[in-house]
Amino acid sequence: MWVHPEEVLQASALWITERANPYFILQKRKGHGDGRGGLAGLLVGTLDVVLDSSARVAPYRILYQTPDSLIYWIIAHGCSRKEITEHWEWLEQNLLQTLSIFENENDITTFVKGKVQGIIAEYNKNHDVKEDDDTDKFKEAICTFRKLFGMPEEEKLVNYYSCSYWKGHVPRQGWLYLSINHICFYSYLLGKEAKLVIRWADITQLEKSATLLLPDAVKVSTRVAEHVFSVFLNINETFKLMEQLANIAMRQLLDNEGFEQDRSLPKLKRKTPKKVSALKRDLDARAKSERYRALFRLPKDEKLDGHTGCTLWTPFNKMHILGQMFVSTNYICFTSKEETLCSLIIPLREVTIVEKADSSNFLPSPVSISTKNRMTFLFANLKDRDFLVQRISDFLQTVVMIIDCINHLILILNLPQRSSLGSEGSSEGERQFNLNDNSVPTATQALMTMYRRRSPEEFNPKLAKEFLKEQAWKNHITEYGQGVCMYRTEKTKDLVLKGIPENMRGELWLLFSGAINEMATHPGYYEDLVEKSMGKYNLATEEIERDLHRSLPEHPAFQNEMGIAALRRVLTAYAFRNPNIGYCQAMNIVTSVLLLYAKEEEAFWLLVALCERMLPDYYNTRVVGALVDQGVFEELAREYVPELYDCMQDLGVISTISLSWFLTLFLSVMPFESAVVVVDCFFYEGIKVIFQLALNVLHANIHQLLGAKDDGEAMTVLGRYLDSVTNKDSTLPPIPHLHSLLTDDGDPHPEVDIFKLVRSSYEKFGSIRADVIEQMRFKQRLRVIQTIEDTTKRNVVRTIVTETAFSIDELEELYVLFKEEHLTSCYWGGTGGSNPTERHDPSLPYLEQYRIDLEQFRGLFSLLFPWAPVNGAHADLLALRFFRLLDHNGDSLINFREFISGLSVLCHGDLTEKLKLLYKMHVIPGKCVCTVHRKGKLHTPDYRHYLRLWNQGTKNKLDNMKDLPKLNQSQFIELCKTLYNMFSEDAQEQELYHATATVTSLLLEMGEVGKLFCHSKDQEEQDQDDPEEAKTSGPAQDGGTKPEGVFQQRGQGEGKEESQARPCGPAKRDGRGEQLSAMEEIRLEDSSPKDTGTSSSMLISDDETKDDTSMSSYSVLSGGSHELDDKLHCEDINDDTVLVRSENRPHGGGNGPHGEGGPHGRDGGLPHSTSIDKDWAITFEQFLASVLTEQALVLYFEKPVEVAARITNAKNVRKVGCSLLSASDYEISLSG
Amino acid sequence: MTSRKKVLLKVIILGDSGVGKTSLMNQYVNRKFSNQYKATIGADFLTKEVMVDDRLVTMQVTTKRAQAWCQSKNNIPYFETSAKEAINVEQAFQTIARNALKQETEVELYNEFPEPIKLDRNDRAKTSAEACTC
Repeated sequence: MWVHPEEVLQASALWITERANPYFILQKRKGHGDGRGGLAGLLVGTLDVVLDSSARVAPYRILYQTPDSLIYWIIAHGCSRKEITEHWEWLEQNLLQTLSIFENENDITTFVKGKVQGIIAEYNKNHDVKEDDDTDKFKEAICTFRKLFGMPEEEKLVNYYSCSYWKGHVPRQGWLYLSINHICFYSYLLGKEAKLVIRWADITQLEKSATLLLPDAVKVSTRVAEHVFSVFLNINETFKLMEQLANIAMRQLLDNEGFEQDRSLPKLKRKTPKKVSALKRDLDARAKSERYRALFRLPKDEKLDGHTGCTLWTPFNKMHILGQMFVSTNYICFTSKEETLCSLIIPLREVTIVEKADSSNFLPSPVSISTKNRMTFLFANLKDRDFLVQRISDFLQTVVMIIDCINHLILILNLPQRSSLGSEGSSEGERQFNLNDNSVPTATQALMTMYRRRSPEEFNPKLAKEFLKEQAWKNHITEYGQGVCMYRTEKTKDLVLKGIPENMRGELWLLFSGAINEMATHPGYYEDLVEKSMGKYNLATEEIERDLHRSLPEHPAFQNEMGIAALRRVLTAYAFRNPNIGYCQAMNIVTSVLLLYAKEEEAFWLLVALCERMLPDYYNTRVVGALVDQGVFEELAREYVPELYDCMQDLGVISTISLSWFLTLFLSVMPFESAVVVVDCFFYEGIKVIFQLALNVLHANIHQLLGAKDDGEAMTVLGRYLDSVTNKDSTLPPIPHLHSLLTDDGDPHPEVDIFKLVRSSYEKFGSIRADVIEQMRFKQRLRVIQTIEDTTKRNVVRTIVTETAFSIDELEELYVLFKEEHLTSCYWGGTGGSNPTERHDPSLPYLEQYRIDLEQFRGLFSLLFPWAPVNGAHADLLALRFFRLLDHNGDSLINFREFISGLSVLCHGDLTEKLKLLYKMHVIPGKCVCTVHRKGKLHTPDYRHYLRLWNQGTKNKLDNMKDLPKLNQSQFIELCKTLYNMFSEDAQEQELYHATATVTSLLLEMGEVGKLFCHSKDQEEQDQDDPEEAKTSGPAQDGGTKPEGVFQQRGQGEGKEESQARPCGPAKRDGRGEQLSAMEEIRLEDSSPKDTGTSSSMLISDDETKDDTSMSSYSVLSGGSHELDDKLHCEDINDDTVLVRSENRPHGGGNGPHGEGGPHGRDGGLPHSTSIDKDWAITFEQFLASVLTEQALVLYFEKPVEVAARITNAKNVRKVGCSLLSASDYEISLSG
Repeated sequence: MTSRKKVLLKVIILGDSGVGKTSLMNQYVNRKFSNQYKATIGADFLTKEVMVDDRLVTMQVTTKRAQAWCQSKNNIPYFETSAKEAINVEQAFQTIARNALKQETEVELYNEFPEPIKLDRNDRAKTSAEACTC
């Protein structure tokens, strides 16, 4: 196929030219077609997926090159010789001739590029290449999947597997579909259908279990049910994928990062054309890369390119050892087959030469790699050596380019100042700050160097021991190499376990943790971050400040401002780098220790390595990672110290103690000089050491723990034990440990030697493998996150249960629906404005964690709310109004409390409350803003203006019905529509309609009366206002200077669609003019004594209007208004055509005092500014009183609504994920 | 000492980070003050046996870092204490214990927000300690 012309660096490497002419060459990929798998095959495979670019490697390609240029352009590639030959022939026949016409080479290039792009465009048009090129079979499966489960297009199927689902005791053979957000099963056999849809986010447990009956089964648990699947073709593959997908869902729940990750998945997919379920291959590649990164502690964005078996010459024991070589974009790594023998990490930035050495029988296809610090590594037995070397040199080229780029940048940046990088070596051993005038001061020395004992000449057995340790490490370096590229062997581990010498700690921590890599590739990053974060104040910095002096107070380095300042800078910079974590207690303790041994920048990168790789999720708001590992620890304890397990469970000790062990790597519970030994091992071995040690601590105290009567005693036992752990080798001046400081009464616990403790932890529990821990972590993560979700739910419900009449159960159900609405929109990217991370933030207080925007509210509204009309258009509008009303802070998101407050009024409110809500909803601007909202502009100025007004005017007196703003005519018309749409499906539908008609016509008249009254009263004011109002009602107004103006504009916006409704006011007035004027006079007499120029609403809402007499007078008035009823009745018709109102209108011209009479029919030919009667208004009391006159309405609004049925219904609809299927389609219900 | 049995009381001290929960606890239990406390990670724990009105009571004192500060502040008395100077510490805990013992006979229904024990009113609040029996 043709591809968009792209420059190619290497025209010859890896490719064999098969055909050529002056402008084009046709090439075949080396190695293609000769059936070799090995590295090449794997590389090509993972490459496609890992690098999602167009760098897919097809075996054939056509390059374009002008005769005098060195640049090649790839213009086509092909999967088969046939395909590429077609292209080639087309080029020869059609293009070659034409090209010879051009004189200028640039012209030729432009022409060729244009031509190729043209072909591509045309091809795409004809073939509509929007769809991905999954195989037909997979496409078919996707179709089936969507059809069966009612999934929208956005739901991406990853893979499907044949298996059995156990329904009761009967296995059902069918297909298991795994998509990004759901696990689905379908079977149809012998007329029996079984269907199942579960969200990954609802899964609480995922287990591969084996029972006698089912040797290989997967058990999927949710909060309500357990499902068992078995008879898989390849259970491991299926289970792995399930785990991966569940993990993605958990990450979604856990943090915002999760969302991004997930978003990237479908996107990636959309971009790349792919083969059989490319999504699956993508996920596989991710999993592989993840394992690779974890194995070698590589930075988070490193992607594995491929791996191959090989041998490595290990000079220290003069052997070729068998193992795997891994190649990724920035690293070459090696690990021996026998795990502990040797591993190697070679960053490409260190590599100087990669060369193929001569093959021999003894040593086939060797490759040697040399590094900057003059180490040379000899690999051999590489099956696909040429390809590999090419691959590496490709990567090398990019790495070199990037390094050049960075260096160049640094040069520019540092030009005015002295280079801080260069100055380091010069003045070693002295306390030193780089105090370049305008850069931030950061400590360039480890703090410990300032407090180290300075008189080694005095004889001290400890110092001698320390010297021996240093000597041993020096020997190690000469034998195994120095720096990142050192051979890491069993010997290295032995040395680490013996304790790293004081002055090498920083360096080795950096090396083992991999922090050195991130630091090397981000020169200047830390300093920059410090500069940016300085002087910023937020919650994190506040918390940091509070803990600075409570980090390592016993050490002299943190008893003065220098150490404190360094700690402050590192923590603040980190909070600035990663706002998701920000600052969490315990980070201060760990960081202070890092600062003692490493330079400030190094300490920062060590902290990054800890927070982001080595202790994943430990320091987020709910310390999820630590809770997960606590769960893992409990599981390990059950396995390795079974005799203790029951007792520990009873005492509940593990959960109380272990949090601090994990969060601070024992630094807060052991004496400092002993705990750093733990940190040494941790940086080398990872979290496994911490588990081993924790188990060992339990094991060592087994008898005392068994004898403990309560958790307090158990904790005291462990506390005393940990206090007594000592480091006899320590050359540091002894620092009293907190606990020993305080609990000196009672006999001191015998000392425990830290090195012995570490040793024995390896002996007893060293068999715990990192990948097993990873597996357990997955399981625990599910549990922890779902527990947190439950806690959130419980807390939210408990907070608001007193505010509503809903029961706890109802609230919980509603909360679930509320959250699901949010999740669903995350999955399929709701159309609307807000992004998921705005709506879900687990770090917020419980109530604010989940919020929904209008888009989601609409869905819930129509499902749950009693007033929701069946009619779609008006339902949306009503939902919008309701949403606005509930959104108190105007951020276009509502939380669960706001949501419930609305629903509660509708279900349990009394008549007045309900009517008030209904009334208020229509004071709120409607449709106009709504359209803007759909585009994603959430805050239109007039909306906000409105809200401000609302808040000012009504904040304190919302209860006072007198203070509710008046309803103008267009708002009233909307209210009428709402009423008419409200009663469908109600048993009393007819009566309700009739009653509504009566009430609305009554209100219309009242409005008229009020208008006349107000008009005569405020004549002068009106005269002044009029011109202004006329202006604001012009279409080009910015709106929002005056509330009336805003409303009017809005009314006009609606005008076009609602022209039927408009004439009603004037028409009525025309018909009943005389009576009205009579009324007017009465009213004038009634209220004039009290009024002194206040607004008309105040006048009309005088107390008398509320009492019975006035009400009865209204009902008299409403007696003969049937004609009007009919007219009003058509308002709700909208699209239906039950009544055509135009015959009812006797008047042809604009004869009302305000000129808005009847000339406009459905399409209203007159300018809109005249169509709304702006003086017309009613108050809430009028509305309320009128409704009270109709028994049917009173009953309707007084009737409490049972929400339980609605919840059940909503759950049924939601279950499907899409309303395509009715609930009855389900043979298996989720809760069953 | 009477023949009555030992009673175990658990006191949980909650409060904002850095207000001095650990200091208070240690002053009470060990009669010591240090200005070198580390931030408490998780929960800390100490036990003390005291005599309250001739009854031997073992007090387990825990300081716990709590995310959510107590629901209603209405009933929480402020008790001026100083962990550093050991002012009022003993009295406060004694009162806690005494009140807890008084409640012992009452219904032992632990709802999720137990009623706080009322201490002597003292408006000049310096260190506030909310006390609950659990």
